Amino acid sequence: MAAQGDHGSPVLADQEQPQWRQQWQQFAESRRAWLALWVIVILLLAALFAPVIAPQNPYDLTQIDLFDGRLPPGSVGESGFIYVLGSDVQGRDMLSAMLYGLRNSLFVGVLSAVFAVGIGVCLGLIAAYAGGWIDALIMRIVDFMLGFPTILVALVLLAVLGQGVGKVILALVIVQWAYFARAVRGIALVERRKEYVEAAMCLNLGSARILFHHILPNCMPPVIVIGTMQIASAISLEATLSFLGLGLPITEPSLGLLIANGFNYLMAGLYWISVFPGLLLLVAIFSLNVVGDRLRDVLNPRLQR
Amino acid sequence: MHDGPPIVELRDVSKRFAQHHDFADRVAALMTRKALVDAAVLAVNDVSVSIARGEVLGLVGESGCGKSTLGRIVAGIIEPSEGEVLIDGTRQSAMSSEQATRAALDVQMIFQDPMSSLNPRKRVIDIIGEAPRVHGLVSRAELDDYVCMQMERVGLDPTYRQRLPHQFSGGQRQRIGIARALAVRPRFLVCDEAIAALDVSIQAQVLNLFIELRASLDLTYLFISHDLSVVEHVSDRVAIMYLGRIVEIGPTDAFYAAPNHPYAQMLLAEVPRLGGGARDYTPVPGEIPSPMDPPSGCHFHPRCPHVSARCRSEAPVLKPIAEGRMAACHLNDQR
Repeated sequence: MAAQGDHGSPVLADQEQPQWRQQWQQFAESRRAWLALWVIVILLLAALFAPVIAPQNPYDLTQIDLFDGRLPPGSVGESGFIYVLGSDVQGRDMLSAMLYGLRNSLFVGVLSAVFAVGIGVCLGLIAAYAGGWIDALIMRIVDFMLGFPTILVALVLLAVLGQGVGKVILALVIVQWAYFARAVRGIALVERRKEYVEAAMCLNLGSARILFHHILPNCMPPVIVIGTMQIASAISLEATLSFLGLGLPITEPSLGLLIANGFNYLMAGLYWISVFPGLLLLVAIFSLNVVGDRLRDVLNPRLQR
Repeated sequence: MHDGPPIVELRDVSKRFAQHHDFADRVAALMTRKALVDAAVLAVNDVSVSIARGEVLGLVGESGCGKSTLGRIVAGIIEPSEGEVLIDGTRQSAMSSEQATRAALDVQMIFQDPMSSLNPRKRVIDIIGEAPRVHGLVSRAELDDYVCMQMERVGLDPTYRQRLPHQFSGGQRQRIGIARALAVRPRFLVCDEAIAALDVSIQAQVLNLFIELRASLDLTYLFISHDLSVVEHVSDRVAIMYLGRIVEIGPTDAFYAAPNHPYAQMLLAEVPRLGGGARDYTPVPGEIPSPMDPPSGCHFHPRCPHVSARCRSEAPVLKPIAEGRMAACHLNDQR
């Protein structure tokens, strides 16, 4: 063998740590994103443990007292219960109602985004890998879906399907998968031309393995970014639908429905019924968008320093 | 060299890359009343060549001449549009599925870009070990030792097998690519500009690795390069390609002593040599024509100093000019 210089230790420098740790450190450099991530984690935990931490079950009629209705924030009710954020017309504790509403909103948002990612990623990969008329067909459907205003499609779907958590999720998935399909197809088209895919073909690894073990992992960073953003837009879309009366049923209210409930009393000075759920919704969506923005900066190799 | 059928034989292989028009193109063409032009590139044009066991065939040409496409056809990554590829004298269609898998693994490829040819999200142990695992060449228990052995063979420290490609230098990455190919026990390697992207000092190391591996593993190479001096160093035979056609093929010594085809002569005249002193640089005149619209007759005629009327109309075919040598030039008919 010629000189041995090429043998020594790999070039290390700051690359000693695995890639994800570097990216995590880079992510945390932005205090805003760091804070937003914590807010999301706290909101998720609050939503998950809503039945435990909520002072009251707002949908258990034995626990609410009509005489405690319309109390402003900080009031003490007939039974000595303190309504930290006030109560609504039926005497529900707003804090508890918001925790339950957040639970429903996040559940619908996350679940619909997960399904939309699953469908969109599969179709995008297939379109990119198969090419030809399959590609053309899938992408024309995508164009068709993206050509209509999201809210219009969702409204029509829900008008046809009727109410219910499952139906809302279905409607959200139908209006959202196209974004993922388009994004994944674009990235997969770039990745499949790279030499490591040719190497895998040469090693006879099989289409499914190449598609899901080689190309897909390299498409994930942008999918994660769009996914985060789409959870936020799914939540706000669901809130919009609920506000319009087409979203979740009244028995499982989301933040949007709470806002709609209080809307009628806003002009009567009962601001807390609408404003507090609205603020919570704002915080949740804003945090998700901040995290999504930061993820895009960190995961985009072209922005790497 | 060995007797028996050539390890790889190409018969009248062509590869056409056509631009497909989709529905939107057709509508647009209809509306603007412009005829659709079916642009097609004949990247490989009727190439027949056979490579004997244990031989190193150097394939040389300017960029865009189709040498990488030819390499990919040999490696089975691209299907030829016409013609056939025979492995050990057997057609792909005549093989059972196990035979076809073995034949596919027998021919492996080393790529030019050591960065993009390794999956950035896989660890070295997975990059090298995936294919042997999938094809059942090693059991799960033996995999770790097997990968270590492959890494040692190409001069990599096996303790780094848990690292990711970006943690290695260019030369080391190329060694990982070589180990990945060797892990499926191939008999034939297509090296597509395998050292062109490396530093000059590393080029010599990797080139020597190829030469060592050839001796120890009884490998056959198709060594694709644009660098004539590298090819002279490693090859037994040399093939010169121009715009999709092989214009000359012959034993390395005879070819470098007296190239026959005018294009080969001009290429060789520009190889820098030690001890020649200062020299004027005269590039091959003209540029390589667009492969979308190649010149009529002999593709080289617009740049050839010996051009005649016949060259413009009639494409020369490869004809034997000496023992084991062939060239495609009309000048040979006049001698």
